[in-house]
Amino acid sequence: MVTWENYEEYLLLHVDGELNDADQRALLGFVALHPEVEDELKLYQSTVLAADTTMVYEHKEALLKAAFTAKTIALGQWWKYGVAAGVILFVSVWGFRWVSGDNGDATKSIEIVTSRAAKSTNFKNVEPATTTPKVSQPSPTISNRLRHSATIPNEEKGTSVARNSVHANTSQIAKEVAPVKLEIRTIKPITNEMAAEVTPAPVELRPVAVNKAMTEPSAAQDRPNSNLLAWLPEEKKEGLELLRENVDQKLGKANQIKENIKDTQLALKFGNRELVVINF
Amino acid sequence: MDAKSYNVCVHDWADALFRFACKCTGNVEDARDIVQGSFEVLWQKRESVVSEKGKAFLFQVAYNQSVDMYRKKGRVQYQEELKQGGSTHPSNPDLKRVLDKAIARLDEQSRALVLLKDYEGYRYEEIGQITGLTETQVKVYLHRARKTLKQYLVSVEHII
Repeated sequence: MVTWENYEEYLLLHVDGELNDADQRALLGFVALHPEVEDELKLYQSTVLAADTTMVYEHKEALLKAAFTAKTIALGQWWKYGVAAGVILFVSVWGFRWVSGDNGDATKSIEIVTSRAAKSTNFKNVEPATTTPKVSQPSPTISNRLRHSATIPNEEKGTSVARNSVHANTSQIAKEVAPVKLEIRTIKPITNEMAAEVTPAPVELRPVAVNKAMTEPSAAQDRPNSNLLAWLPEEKKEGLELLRENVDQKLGKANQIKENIKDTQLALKFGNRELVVINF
Repeated sequence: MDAKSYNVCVHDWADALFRFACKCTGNVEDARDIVQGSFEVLWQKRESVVSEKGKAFLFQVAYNQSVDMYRKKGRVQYQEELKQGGSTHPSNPDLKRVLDKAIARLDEQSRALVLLKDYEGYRYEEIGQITGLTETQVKVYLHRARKTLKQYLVSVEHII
């Protein structure tokens, strides 16, 4: 209820717009009953400030921030790119593996050669090596040599011829490293062929030492005293030692490459999914 | 609040905040600094401020910054005639000029309460949230400011 004691508070609440409808009606009734209060009400209403809308902040653009809008990504296109990249990677990896697989075979053959060479006490036993050039040659050469040795009547002459052939062939062996390994791998078929060629003429099998060494290299290795290397001069021995060192170095490199590749894993991931995993 | 809502706040409330800051500090340059600082704070705190409370947050920051500026500089040299206007009653230039003088005579807090009430139409409770006062304190301080303004107007009318 509005009275002379509280009418001013009602006037202020009315100016501030804080009166409810009932109090609003009560105040207006009080003002109607007492016109002198109306001037006071107008004075209070004149204290209300009106905002000047012409006063504006001129640098709004400097306050704005860049809104991050979501971009729609065509997943189908990305899938195509992903599949294409996967195929290319797959082909590349298999190509690489194919190439390295060839190298691996070569490494194996080198290992075979070296293991056999190591058994022969580091090329000290030259008999297999000296005979291999003959074996690796085309069959006409072998047959010629066999025929030539077969014409020697006694054992001593045969050994001298064999010695000459050793001297002639050691320098050739020092130059040809790769043929050494290939010849050992193909030793059996050629000896069979050679045996078939030799069999019709029993006399031609006289150079037993050569053929036996070719067919049974381990037997030749087990005979240290029959080592043809002992017949070689010192400069030839040094050449063979140099050859052995070079071959050992290459084998070491090949083994190192093999060890590096052995525990390697190549994985193709798309997001968190592993599409292809290749273990070497 | 995301960047889009923030930009909406800039478009909707930058002018009102600037007017409020101008009246609080009585200085256009200080008002610009307050507006810039208020929106900077809003951007930094945007993760914890909902869009509906953006305006209240801005005025709260602006009020606190104007109070800090007032305490730092001492009593500000209030510019009764702001270059950009600041008219209280554009339809009545004389009343506008008198009211500008009357507002300048109020203390910082009372001036802010009158501005929040008249310019922005906040209720006592909302003004209390912005200024950190209770609703009763807002009511008392605001009524006291109104009486001061009325007395000034009456005194000027007598002089005129």
